[in-house]
Amino acid sequence: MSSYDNFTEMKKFVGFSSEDAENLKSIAHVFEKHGPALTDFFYETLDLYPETATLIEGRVDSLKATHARWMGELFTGVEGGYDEAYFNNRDIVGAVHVKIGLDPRWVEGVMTIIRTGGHAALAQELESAAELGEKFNSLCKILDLDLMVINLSYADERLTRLATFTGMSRKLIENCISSG
Amino acid sequence: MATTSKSDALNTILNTLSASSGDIEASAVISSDGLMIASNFPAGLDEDRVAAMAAALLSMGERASSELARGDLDQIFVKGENGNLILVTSGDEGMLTTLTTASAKLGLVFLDMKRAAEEIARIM
Ligand code: HEM
Repeated sequence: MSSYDNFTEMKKFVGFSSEDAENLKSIAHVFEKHGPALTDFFYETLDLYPETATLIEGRVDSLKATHARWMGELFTGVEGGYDEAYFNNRDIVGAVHVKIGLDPRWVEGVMTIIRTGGHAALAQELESAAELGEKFNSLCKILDLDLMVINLSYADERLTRLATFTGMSRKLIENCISSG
Repeated sequence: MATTSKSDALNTILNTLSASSGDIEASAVISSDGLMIASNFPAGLDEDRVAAMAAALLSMGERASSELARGDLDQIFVKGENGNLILVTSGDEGMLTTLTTASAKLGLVFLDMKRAAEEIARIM
């Protein structure tokens, strides 16, 4: 099963529906307003830890631009469908971070910043608790799906690199893992 | 596992190999993906594990040999206190593995293994 198949299966599994897509579209304006501050906080946090700070040094402005694009796509679904085009944009994010030697725990960790910051932004802008609950749920679903794709491509890229280095086929590596 | 006739032929080669030299204690045919195809390894060994390990050793050896400009890999030789583990490629998809005694006459073992590996490659 390819990763895109995994993605569509997981979309079904977490119950990501057209209603979620509509909810996300309806909160795009909240993130147009609060997104830049959230992105700033994201990079300020990464700057506090030497392991992440060295990786972003001297390129924070350009990273903020890519980050803003990534965030915008959370609410448009790339061409509206949260489908293959959306998946492909997420799939490369994992591979890019493996290439720079970033440990996956940092990606997991900063997603919490997006989640909690996202909640705070929605709480400021939405009128009712019911609407907040419903729209925050949709945001959580898409962030979890994004993280899943990033993690899968992380794992995949690491195996690909191990396969290239050792000359071992993917099947052999899987056999080693299951015999481990 | 190989089909019965193939499997019989491979087992015959392995048994002949063991019979031809008292130095060879056991042998096995393993796929490059690390699956055991035929073996007369002693009972009690975890064959899945051994097969994956042997294939991993051979792959790493091939990579190292090429990286260090040593050409195509001929064999992997692991010398332990109680005996040796020898691996040779057999065709594109497989390998022949033997366990020998510590005092084995290696020249003869290598020769027997080379012949057996060629026969195995023809069958596979
Ligand atoms: C929720 C977590 C994260 C998301 C969604 C995210 C998103 C992205 C995106 C979309 C890109 C551009 C990918 C491309 O080239 O197309 C990128 C690149 C990058 N990210 Fe992240 N990122 C995350 C976490 C982190 C963390 C924790 C670090 C820590 C240092 C980091 C450092 C970088 C760097 C240095 C690049 C540039 C890589 C290169 O092209 O050399 N990211 N990120």
